[in-house]
Amino acid sequence: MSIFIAKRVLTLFVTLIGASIVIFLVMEILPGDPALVILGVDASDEAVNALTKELGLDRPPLVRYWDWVTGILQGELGKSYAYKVPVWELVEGALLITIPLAIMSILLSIVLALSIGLYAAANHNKAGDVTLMGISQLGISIPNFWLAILLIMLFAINLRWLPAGGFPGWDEGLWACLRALLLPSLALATVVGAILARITRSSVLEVFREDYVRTARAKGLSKQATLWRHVLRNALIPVLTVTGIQFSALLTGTVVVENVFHIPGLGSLVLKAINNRDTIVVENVVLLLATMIIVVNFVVDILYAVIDPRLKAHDI
Amino acid sequence: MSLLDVKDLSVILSTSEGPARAVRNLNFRLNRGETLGIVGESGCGKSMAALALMGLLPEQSETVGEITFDGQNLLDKTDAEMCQIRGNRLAMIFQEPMTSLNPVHTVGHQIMEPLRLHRNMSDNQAKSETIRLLDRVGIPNPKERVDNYPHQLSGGQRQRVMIAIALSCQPDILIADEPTTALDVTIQDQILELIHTLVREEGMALILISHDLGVISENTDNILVMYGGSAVETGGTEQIFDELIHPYTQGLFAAMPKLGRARSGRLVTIPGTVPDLISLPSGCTFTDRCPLATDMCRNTPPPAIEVTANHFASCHHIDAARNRKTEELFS
Amino acid sequence: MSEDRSLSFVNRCRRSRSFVVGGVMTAFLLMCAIVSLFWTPGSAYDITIANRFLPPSGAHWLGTDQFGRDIASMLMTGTQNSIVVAVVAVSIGLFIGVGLGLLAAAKRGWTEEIIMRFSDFSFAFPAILSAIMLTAILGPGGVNSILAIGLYNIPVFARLTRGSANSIWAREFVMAARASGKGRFRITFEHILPNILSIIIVQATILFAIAILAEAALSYLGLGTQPPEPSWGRMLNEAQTLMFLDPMQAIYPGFAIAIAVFGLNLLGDGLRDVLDPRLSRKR
Repeated sequence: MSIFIAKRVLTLFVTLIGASIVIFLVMEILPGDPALVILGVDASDEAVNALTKELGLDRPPLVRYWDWVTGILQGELGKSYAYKVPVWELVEGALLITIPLAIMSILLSIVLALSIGLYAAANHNKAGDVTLMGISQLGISIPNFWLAILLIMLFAINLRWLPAGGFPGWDEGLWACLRALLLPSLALATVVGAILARITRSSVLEVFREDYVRTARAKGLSKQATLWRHVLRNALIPVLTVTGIQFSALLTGTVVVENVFHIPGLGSLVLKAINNRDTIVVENVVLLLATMIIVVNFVVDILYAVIDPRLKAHDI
Repeated sequence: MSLLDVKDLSVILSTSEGPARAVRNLNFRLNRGETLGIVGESGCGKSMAALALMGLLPEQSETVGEITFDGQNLLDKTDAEMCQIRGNRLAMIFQEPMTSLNPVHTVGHQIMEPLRLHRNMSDNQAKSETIRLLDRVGIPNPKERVDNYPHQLSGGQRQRVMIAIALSCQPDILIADEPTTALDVTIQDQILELIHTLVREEGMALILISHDLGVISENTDNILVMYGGSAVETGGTEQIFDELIHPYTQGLFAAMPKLGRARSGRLVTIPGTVPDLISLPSGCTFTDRCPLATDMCRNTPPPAIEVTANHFASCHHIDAARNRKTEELFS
Repeated sequence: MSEDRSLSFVNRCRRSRSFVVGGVMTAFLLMCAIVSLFWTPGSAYDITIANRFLPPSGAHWLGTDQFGRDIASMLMTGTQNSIVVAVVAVSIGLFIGVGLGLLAAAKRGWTEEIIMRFSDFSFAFPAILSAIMLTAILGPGGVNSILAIGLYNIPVFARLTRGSANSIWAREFVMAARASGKGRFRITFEHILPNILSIIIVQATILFAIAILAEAALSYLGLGTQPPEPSWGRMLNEAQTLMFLDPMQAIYPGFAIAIAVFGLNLLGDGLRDVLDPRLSRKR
C-alpha cells in the first residue's frame, strides 16, 4: 500500500511541477511583454522599461521561475499590478467561494447520477429507463451557462424563490450563502450528472451480468442486498474514472457560471484580471485551478485502490 | 417421499429469434444423501435445469412444471421465500471459480455472508466458523487466508472457497455445475475428491453436472443423460454402464477416450452438431443426429420406457438400439 | 462481395436511429451555415435603432435585438462561426494528436514515454484554462479560442490513437507484415491507421460537439469571437442583460447550441454503431 501511495505522490509532484513550468512558459516567455500588455501598445519605451524593472521582469527567466515557485510555497503570490495589493488577498476570498461551489456541484452531480443511474438500471428498457436516458442525452447537450440563464429566468425572475446572482459573503450566514450557490451548482451539476448517470447505468447493468452476482444470489441474498453489497462497489469503478475526468470540465464550468451569476469566485477574478491586464493574477489563478484538477485526479487514483484491492497488488 | 421431486420441468427462454425450450419435460427424483449425475454436451440444458432448481434463471424466461423440495413446490414461492432456501438448504457451485467470487471483498467476507444471513451468527462466530470451513475444504493457513482477496488465490483455491460458501449452512442438496471444467487436470481430481468426501461426511444429496461421462460415473449413484433439453436415459450408474441403451448415450460413451485402448483406435464422434434450441424437432430431440431415426421420431416425443427396474430410456426404436453395439451405430 | 458489404453498411446506417436523427440535425446545421453565406432573412450586422425589439414577424422570423439586428440571421451567421472554430480546432487536435499517437505506438520506448507523460499532465489545462492564459497575453480574439480548444484536443487524440494503435500492433497480421520486412512507417499507414480510423472518426465527432460548447462558453465570457461577428455565446451574453425585457433572446442562441451539440453527439453514437458494430454492443 505504501509503495502504491508513494508512487502516486511522486506522480502528483512531477505533474504539479510540469504544470507550473507550462504556465510560466506561456505567461512569461511567450511573445507578449507583460509590461507592454499592462501599459498598452502606445506606451513609450522608457515607461515600458521602467515597469519591466519594477515588476522584476528583467531578471533571467530561471531566477524568476524559482522566485515564483518558492514564493508560492511560502504563501507569497506577488503583488497585483492593477490593485497594488498582494495577489493572495484577492485569491483567498475567491477560493472560499469557488471551492465550496465546486464541492457542492460535484456532490450534487454524484447524487443525481447515482439515483438516476440506479433507477434506470433497475428498470432496464422500461419506460422510466428510456425517458431518463433521453433526458440525460439532452442534459449532456445543454451548455451549462445557458442552463444557468434559464434557471435564473425561472427561479429568480418568474418564481422569485432564489437570488438571481451575487454572493452575500460568509458573514451573512451559511443559509444565505448556500441559497446563492444553489442555482450555480444546479447548472453545473446537471450536465456532469447527466454524463455520470449514463455511465452509472451501463456500469451497473454490466456488473449485474457478472458471475459473482449469481454467486451472491445463490447464497440467498435478495436482489436489493446483492445490489448494495456486491454490484455497487464494482460498478463505481468506471463511474469514479469519469468523475475524475469530468472534474476539469466542472471546474472550468465554475469559471463560466460564476460570471453568469456575478459570484466573486476565481472565475470572476480571473476574468477581471484579464480585462485589467493583471497577468500576475491570471498566472496564479490558472495555477490554482490546474492544481485543483491535478489534486482531484490524485485523490481519484487513491480512491481506486481503496475500492479495488487488485490495483494495490500490482504495485507491491 | 423424496427430498426432491422434479415433475415435467420445462424452461422456455425468450430470445431475439423467438422462444427456446432449453429444458423440456424433465422428470427426476433425489433422496436424502443420494447423488445424481446429469450428463450431456454443452447447451443441452443441464445448467438451465440447475438454475431452475435454484430459481436463478434470467428474467426473460419461463419455468413450468413442479419442483417439489421437502414437500413444497419451489415454483410457487416468491423470491423472498426462495432467498431463505438458497444458500441455506440448496447450495450451488459454479463452473468459473475465477469470476464467481467478488474481486472487491475478502474471501472470508464472502464465506461469512450466508452464515450471517441464514444462521444469524455474530461477526466473531461467523469468522471462526469461516476459518473452520476453509480448513475443511483444504486451504492451508486458513487464519491468514481468510483476509485474502480472490486475486491472491489460485483457481483451485478459489473453487475450494466456492465449496466452502456452498457448504457453510449445511445444505440438504449441493448442486455442482461443471465444478472442475475450468481447472487444471491435476487439480480436477482433487476437487472432485473433496466434493465426494464432503458430501458423504455431511450427508448431503448431490447433483453433479458434467459433460464428462467419466467424472459422472465415478462420483454418482444415478445418472440422467440429457440431450436437447430432454432426458433421454436415466437409471442407476451401474445399470447404465451395464447396458447403454439410447443411441445418444451410446454415442457419448463411444466418444469417451478410454485407457488401454489401442492408440490407433480412432475416437468416435457423433455426426452433426449440438442442435439449435429454437429449431428442435417436436418429437425426439436427437432425431437429426441419430442413425436409427425415422419420421415417427421427428414428430412424436418418445415415451420413457422402463427397460429394467428404474432404468428408463426414451426412444421409439428401443429394441433396435439395444441390439446394436456402439461401434456399429457410430462408425 | 463488396456490393454486399456496402449494402449492409447502408442498412446499418438506416437501422441506427441515432445515426439518422443525428445526421439530419448536423446536415441542417451545415445547410444553415452555407445558406447564410449567400442569403439571410434579414441583416445580422446592420444596426437600426428604429427596429429594436421587434416581435417575430414575416420580415423578422425571430424578431430583432436591442440594436435592431435580425435575430434569425444572427443565429444563421453564428453557425458559420461555430463550425469554423470547431473544424479548425478539431483538425489541429486530429493531425497533431493522431500523429503523436501513431508515433508513440510505432516507436515505443522513450518517445512513447515522453509523449504520454506530456499528454498526462496536459489534462490539467482544459480549453477554457488555456484560453484564459492565451487571452491574457495575446488579447482577446477568435483565433485564441481556436488555438486553446485545438491544444486541448491534442492529448485526447494522442491517447486514444496510441491506445488503439498499440492493440493493432499486437495483432497477427501486423506481425506478419513485420516478418515480411515492411518498415514501421509503412505498416503504420498500411495497417494501423486504416484499422483505427473508425474510432478516430467517432471521437472527432464527439470532440466537435465539445468544441462548439467550448467556443460558445469562451465567446460568452468575451474571450472568443469578437463583435460585430455574430456568435451564439456572445448573443447569450448580451441577452442576459435583457432578461427582464426580452427573455426570448436568451432562449434562441442556447437552443441553437443545444441542437448542434445534441445532433453531433447522436451522430457520434450512430457512427459508432455503423462503423464498428462490435463496439456498440458494449454500450
